[in-house]
Amino acid sequence: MSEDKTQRYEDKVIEGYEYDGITEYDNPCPAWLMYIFYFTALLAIFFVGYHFGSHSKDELMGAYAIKLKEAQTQTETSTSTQQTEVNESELLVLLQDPAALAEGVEIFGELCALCHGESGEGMIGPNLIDNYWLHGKGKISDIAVSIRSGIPDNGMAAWEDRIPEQQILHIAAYIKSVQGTIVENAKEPDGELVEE
Amino acid sequence: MSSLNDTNSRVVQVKYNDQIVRMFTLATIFWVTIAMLVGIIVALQLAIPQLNFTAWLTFGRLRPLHTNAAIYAFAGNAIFAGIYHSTQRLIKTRLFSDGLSQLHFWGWQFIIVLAVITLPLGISQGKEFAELEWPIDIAVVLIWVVFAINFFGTLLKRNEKHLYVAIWFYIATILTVALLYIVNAICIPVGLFKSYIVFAGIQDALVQWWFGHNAVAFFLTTPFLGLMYYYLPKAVNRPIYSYRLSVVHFWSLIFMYIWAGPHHLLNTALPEWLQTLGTVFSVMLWAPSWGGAVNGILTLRGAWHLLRTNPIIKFFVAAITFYAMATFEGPLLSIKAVNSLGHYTDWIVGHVHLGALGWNGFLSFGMIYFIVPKLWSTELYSKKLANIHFWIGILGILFYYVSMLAAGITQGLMWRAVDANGSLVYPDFVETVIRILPLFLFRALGGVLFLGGFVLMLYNVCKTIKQAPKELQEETVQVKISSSAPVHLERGHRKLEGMAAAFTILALIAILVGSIIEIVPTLSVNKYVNTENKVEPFTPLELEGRDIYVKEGCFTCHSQMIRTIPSDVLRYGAASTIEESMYDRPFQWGSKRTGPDLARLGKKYPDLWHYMHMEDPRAVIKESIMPAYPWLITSTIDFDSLEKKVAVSNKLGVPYSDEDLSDTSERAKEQAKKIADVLKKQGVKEDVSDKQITALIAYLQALGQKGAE
Repeated sequence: MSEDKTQRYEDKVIEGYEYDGITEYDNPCPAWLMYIFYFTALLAIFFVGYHFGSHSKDELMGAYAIKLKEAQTQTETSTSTQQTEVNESELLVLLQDPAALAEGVEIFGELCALCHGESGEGMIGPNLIDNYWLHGKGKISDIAVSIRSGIPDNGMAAWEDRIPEQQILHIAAYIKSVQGTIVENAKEPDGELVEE
Repeated sequence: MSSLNDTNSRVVQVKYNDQIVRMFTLATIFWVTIAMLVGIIVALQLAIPQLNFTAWLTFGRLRPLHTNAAIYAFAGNAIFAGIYHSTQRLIKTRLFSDGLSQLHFWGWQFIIVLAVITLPLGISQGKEFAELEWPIDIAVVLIWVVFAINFFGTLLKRNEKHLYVAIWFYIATILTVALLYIVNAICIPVGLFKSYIVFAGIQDALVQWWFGHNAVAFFLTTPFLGLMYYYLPKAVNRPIYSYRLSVVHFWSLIFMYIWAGPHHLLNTALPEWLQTLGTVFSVMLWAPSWGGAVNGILTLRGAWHLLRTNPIIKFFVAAITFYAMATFEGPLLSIKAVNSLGHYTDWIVGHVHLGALGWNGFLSFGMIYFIVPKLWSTELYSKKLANIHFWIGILGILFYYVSMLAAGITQGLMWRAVDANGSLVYPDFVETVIRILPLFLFRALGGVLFLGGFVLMLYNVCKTIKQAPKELQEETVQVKISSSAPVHLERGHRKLEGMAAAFTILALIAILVGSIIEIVPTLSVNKYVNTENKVEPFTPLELEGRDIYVKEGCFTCHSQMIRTIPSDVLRYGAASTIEESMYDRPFQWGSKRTGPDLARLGKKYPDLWHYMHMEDPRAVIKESIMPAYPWLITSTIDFDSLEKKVAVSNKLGVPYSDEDLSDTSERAKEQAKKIADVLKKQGVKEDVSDKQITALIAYLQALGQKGAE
């Protein structure tokens, strides 16, 4: 097969071109390769026009800003309806459930204690046993929101996709259950005082 | 020994210097082993952070050793061996000087040894592939000049009038590497082991990637194309497919490559016109790059049956195929939209290794299998082992590339995933790391396979050399030199091929055009910097912290450049501006995000967070793969060296106040005391006011806090 091809091309060795036994054929550049080059040259012209003509950088960010605004107005309307669905009293039942609290303690020690201290007294992260709250009003559902979506700006992780919803609620309930406990060397309060 | 045949021609006997080729060949084989071993160690460290044992064996210090060993030690020695071997034969002339050849060899090995010692010690300029500090840089330049004199000296006394295409590529290599290396390394020393690059921020970014990209072009591409043009037709015993193609693709390749550097800085604060030039020339490089691959592959027409029987041909064909893949992927990644996904991910690491393992590795291996039996006047010990080497190597490359491609695209997609509310789906960076960890292990497995195949070659080469005759002869040829004028008048390129000096000058012009147009405007200091946006320089203590950051190689995993793409802005804050890094020497825009971007890290976490995180990252972020840096807590700050550092920075244009200049160490101690006091209050028992951790925390807390955002 390869022999046939050689025939078809009618290769001619260029006379006088010989280096350490290496010779060269007088073949033209393959046409398809030249077409690739012309294609990329056209593409280059397109890119120049696209990037200079349209200010792609601003456009990209601008388009995003509009989309973000749309999304935010949408969520504002939807969250107002969602809010009522959370039933704090149902969650308060967890405080009477020793198995739930036990699981809460265990996972807290494993995942949360790194930043919030063994007993929630605060360290890198804020104190969780006083009555001062930075996010929400200290309800189990508020705490669960912080656990779910995290506080990325302050380094608090979002656990939503990493642990099941059930466990998130159990941790939140455990935190609620240790409100007001006294621990030595606890971190000073931060945020808003919430009286109950 | 010459005898007169007729009045116009005579025959001389030329004895080639094969000893130097043997030495470079053995050095290549030795350093490949080291480069790949270190590569496997760093690959495993990424998957298992506990493997970062001591300060000098951490990822941040070993990764530069891996890249430097692969480029300068492995590829370097391989091209020296190949260039010296083929050039002598192509122009029928012994090397210019035996002494210079020896100096070149031993000088280069000495430099590599210095690199192996200094890089793990953290002595680094902090610029990728140019980490070596200034005294070693000077040695590199000197030895490169020795190489250039030896090479061009050989050309001058050549017995073959015309230069073959391989030699064109060697000429372009020697010229361009010298230019790139020298410009990129211009610095002012502040000590024997520390210097500041003269370029800052955007200038340094542009110069660095002009260098970095063209190190790939002129250290890993053009010399290897030259080697291909010699060893492939020799091995298959077929004429080169197209002389015309070789002319067209040589000139278009070297002219266009030099412009492509800015594609490493797409979607950053770099001015739009430079980004566009980077994209445009990278895309147009597709055909010139493929020109080499096509000429190689088509040279095999009529000899494809050799692919079944000859392992050397297997290596060459695979190498050219990997080259074609990588040079298609490169232009693709240079399109801004594709780049916004791939940049900073493992996709780039995969892309690079497609070239390094596939193209440079396999071409070198093919060359070594070809020349070792010739140099030691014997037969290859085992063809079968070479065949097994080939297949294990292929498997290794595929494992490596596929796992990195999958890891890169997976992580890139996770970084940019935004839900219907316009917020990040994976706001926690570590989530995106956990997802790709298994692929890191597959990558390491790919590396192990590749090294495993190489070990077979090591054995094969040793056995081959063992069976060589005791007395090695240097190859001698009879060369007929005709001093008569050419029968027909030469025109155009053919004429140029007979004029080494003119050819060299034209090649120099070809690479200077793009270099000057892209870099010179940026060097006019304030051209792209809006001086109305005032930026505070880092305090002396923060500067010291920055030097520690550079020393530990933090930039190998963390960028400081928030790109102008929505997901970057969402994750890290407002896009970085040129002004923010205007005093950064070296710039820290980065090339890889194994960890998150740090451009706006300052004030995000309390000091204690950083303290604990540096002491043991997993005490704060359970799944983190960052190495621990416990020695920063015990090593002390060299306050005395700060005065010189601040003074040199000031001389380079950083506006330090008179107090900073006169009471440098007092001011640094003052700031350190404040941080140490805060840490103490937060629960740190030891007094760390004179420890390196404090300087580093000062720097990290200052990131993004100096204005102009």
